Amino acid sequence: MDALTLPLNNQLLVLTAPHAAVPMMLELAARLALTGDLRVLDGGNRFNVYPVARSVRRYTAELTSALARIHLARAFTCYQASAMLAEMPADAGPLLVIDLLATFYDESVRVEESRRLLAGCITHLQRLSQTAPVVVSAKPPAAPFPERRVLLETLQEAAAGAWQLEALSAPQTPTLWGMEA
Amino acid sequence: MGRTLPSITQAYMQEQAAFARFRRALRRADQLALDDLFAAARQHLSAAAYAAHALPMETFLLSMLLEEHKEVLRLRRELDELRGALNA
Amino acid sequence: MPDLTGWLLDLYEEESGGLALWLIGDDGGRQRLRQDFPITFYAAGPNAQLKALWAWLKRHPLKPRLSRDQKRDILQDGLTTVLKIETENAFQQPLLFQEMARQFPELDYYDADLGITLRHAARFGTFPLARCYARADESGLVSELRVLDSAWDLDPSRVPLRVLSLRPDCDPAHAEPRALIAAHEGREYHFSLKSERPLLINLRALFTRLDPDLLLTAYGDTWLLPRLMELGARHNLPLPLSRDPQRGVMHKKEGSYFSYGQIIYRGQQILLYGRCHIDGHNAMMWQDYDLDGALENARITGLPIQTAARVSPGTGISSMQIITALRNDILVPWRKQAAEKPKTAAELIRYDQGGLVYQPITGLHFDVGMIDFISMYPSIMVRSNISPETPFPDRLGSSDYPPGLIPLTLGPLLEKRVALKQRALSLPAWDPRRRLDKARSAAHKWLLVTCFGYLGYKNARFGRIEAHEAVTTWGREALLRAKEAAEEMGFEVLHMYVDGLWVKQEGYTQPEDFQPLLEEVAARTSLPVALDGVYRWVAFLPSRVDARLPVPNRYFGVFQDGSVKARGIDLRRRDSAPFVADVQREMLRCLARAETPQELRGQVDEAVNLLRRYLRALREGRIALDNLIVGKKISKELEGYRVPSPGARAAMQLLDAGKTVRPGQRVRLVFTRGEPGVHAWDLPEAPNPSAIDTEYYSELLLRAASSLMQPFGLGEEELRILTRDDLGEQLDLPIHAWRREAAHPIT
Repeated sequence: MDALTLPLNNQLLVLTAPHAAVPMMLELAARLALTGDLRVLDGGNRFNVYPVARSVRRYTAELTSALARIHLARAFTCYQASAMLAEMPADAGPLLVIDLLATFYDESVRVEESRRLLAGCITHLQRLSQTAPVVVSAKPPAAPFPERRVLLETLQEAAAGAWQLEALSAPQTPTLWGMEA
Repeated sequence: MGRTLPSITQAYMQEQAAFARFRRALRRADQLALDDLFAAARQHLSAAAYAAHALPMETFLLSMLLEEHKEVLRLRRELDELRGALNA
Repeated sequence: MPDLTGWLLDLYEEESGGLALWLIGDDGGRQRLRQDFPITFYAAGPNAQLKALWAWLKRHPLKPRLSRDQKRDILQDGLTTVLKIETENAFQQPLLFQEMARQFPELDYYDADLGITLRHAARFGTFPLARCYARADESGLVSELRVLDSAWDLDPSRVPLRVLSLRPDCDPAHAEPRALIAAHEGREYHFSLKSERPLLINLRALFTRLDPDLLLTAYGDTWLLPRLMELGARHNLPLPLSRDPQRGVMHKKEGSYFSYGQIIYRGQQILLYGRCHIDGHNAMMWQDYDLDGALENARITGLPIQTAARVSPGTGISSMQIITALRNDILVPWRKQAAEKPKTAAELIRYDQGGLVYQPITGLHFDVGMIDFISMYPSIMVRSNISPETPFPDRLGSSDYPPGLIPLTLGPLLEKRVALKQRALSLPAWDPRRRLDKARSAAHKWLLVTCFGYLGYKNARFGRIEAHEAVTTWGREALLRAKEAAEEMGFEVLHMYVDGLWVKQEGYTQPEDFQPLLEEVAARTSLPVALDGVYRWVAFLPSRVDARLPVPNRYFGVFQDGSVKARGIDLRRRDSAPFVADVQREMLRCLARAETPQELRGQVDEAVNLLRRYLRALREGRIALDNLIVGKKISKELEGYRVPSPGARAAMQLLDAGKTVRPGQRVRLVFTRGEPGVHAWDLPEAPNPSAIDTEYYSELLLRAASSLMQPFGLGEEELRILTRDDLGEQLDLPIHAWRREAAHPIT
């Protein structure tokens, strides 16, 4: 399963991976930007434009116009994530949500509150998936917080299709000449 | 808060790391010369950041070329001075 | 009761409704007054929910007054329909709101969770230590209240505060204190802790006689006051800690909380009523400013004195914004909802950047001018009118739109800062106002430094990421224009860092020489700019790892007046041992004595000799142990460490000795030879001086010293050789004869 073979119809898909499948989501963004406008909701402050640009460049020289078709908004709290999804109009192209649960795992928000907000988000994700492909990526909560796992399970259950991905490439910290491909 | 885009230094290090295999297959002397080129690009990271290029590698390559040219200019000057001294 | 004029000391909610106000009267008395003060707050959301809330509130025992209204939420267009809720009982309002929010979590709430002093400030213009006029009846109920001065006055009237300080005779974390020391106006009183009843009787007498307004303690929150309260209860001789006989004390529990993925530890707090308690060890900024700074902070932010001394500058900024919002009829949201408007990927690359940073030309430079934008980000926020509700500015230094919430809030603060800075330049050295000005300026500086970050803070009520990005965008533009001006006028730009640049030009050595450049930069950017000074010499340091790589904001140098400035080298880091920082500072002062390049070579030799002497003293065990203490922060619960860091190992030692260590706290330790490699400083047994790992400390010192010596061609290796024991003091050859070729040799 990768960005090229992921089925993109009008339905809600959830990808779970240890680091929220960021490389795959970026690749998806690049692929979609080639042919039309898309929306990206970044829930975990992960949207690194550079790999997207490199990917687009492999397919076309029209880099600037492709990048202009990616409409990105960042949510830094689960309240923001919730409000953004509620306000999002349907019929405005595919929606990619990267690392949706990051802000819902925030220790300063009570679990019940996170659950309430997530329920609202799921309603809107389902609404939006009626008229466009919606792909959501998520990671499991950190080990010391098992009570937050229910958030991931609720999200997975609401999806038309849910994939669990192996750790493809964890984010690497580049050292001076340290990384071998 | 809010910083999503990797810093220009991080972008630079990623580009450098992408050439690790190429570097490995070079002779030692050539490796050192390549390191000099990358060090040269490092002199102009702030300009690269301001340029806000979607493909920062192009800016880094231009920086390397810039430093090379400065070195050529310096050598030309030195050469002229030496010639002048010889002819005197 | 006759009319009263005096200064406002404290203000809080009374349980029966209304407020208690404490005034320091002109007649020397401390008066407690009452004032009616209804609280108004709002709810907004879908009609059906509002109706349900209305019905719920109608049944509530507090019987709040309800009505419909239209108010402005600046993060939304147009006016918002709200349910207006008013209650007479300020004390009960927070509980009412909590219940409401639990029952109706889907609604948006405004003006719901605001500190009482902020509400009062918005209505009456009051602030801590404000000079007020009050008219009250026999029972002390206020019928008229007027504020006679402003928090923005450059020279507020001197308040005759009665200050009592109280401290234990040693650090309670280290050993059990044996006595308490009280001090008032230069006189000290010692009370033995062994005899508890006499202690309590004498302290009570002292308290009653002095009736202090301010109680300044050491460890008051975490040890002293809890201990006194416990003793008082045990012997039935309670201390009148609060002035208000109807109230005890407010006890806030300790806790650790998350902020930006980091654990922060907050100690417990003991707050008083009618009196202010400040614990010097629990006060946020106490290292950076003292009592005068803390009082100024309270004046400007509107926070009660006790709170202002304990909270971060972020809370201070937030309070100022809240007061401005309330005064201008702008709703204060309970929780920040507003999210970023979408931007394209290309726009993200343009705007998601920080300040402009220009790599320095490393090495030693002479006669360098440093030009600084004064409070650059706040100035841009005010002049370009950057606020969550204003459009992205299209130019520097002015705006076509009416000022938004942020400029309205910051404007007066910036003005006061600039005024004090200018006054500092013209006041003679002996003027008593200098010290006060300096203390107040420190408070202003911290608030201003924080306000930019706060603009982008995810939980800030009036934060907005686009506004934050607008500030950095125009900051970069301003710095670039300054660079262009400098280069056009023949200067070489050595280094730029966010809001400052270092320039030099052949023959330009005096401050007057740089004046035309200052004027040009001010003209091109419409921002206030000043000459920080002219350096006799400044050294920009490269990376420790690779000397070819310049590193921004890492330098040290000497101004023409002999004062030293350093950034990015160890002596400023919180974790380093005082010994290392002190030696570095002394070496720097030694270098600073040089007035010419020739003298500098001699001073370099001197500095190395200094280093050698200190290393010998270290090896011979002549360095006092408390100079070797290093502080390490514990970032998580101890079980969370797979391989215990030195800090964790020290924390475990403390745990074994029965002491508690919370995540977020700093553990003090010294490094010892062999296992376990550390000795926690706060253990009952002091470490054995001969067990100190002098080799490790030598390495730390050499590393720190090499940062200073690097521009002169002496790296860590060279220093290690030069300071070897066996070479001793016989080495009196000029040190520079030993150097390898430096990148920029001293000529």
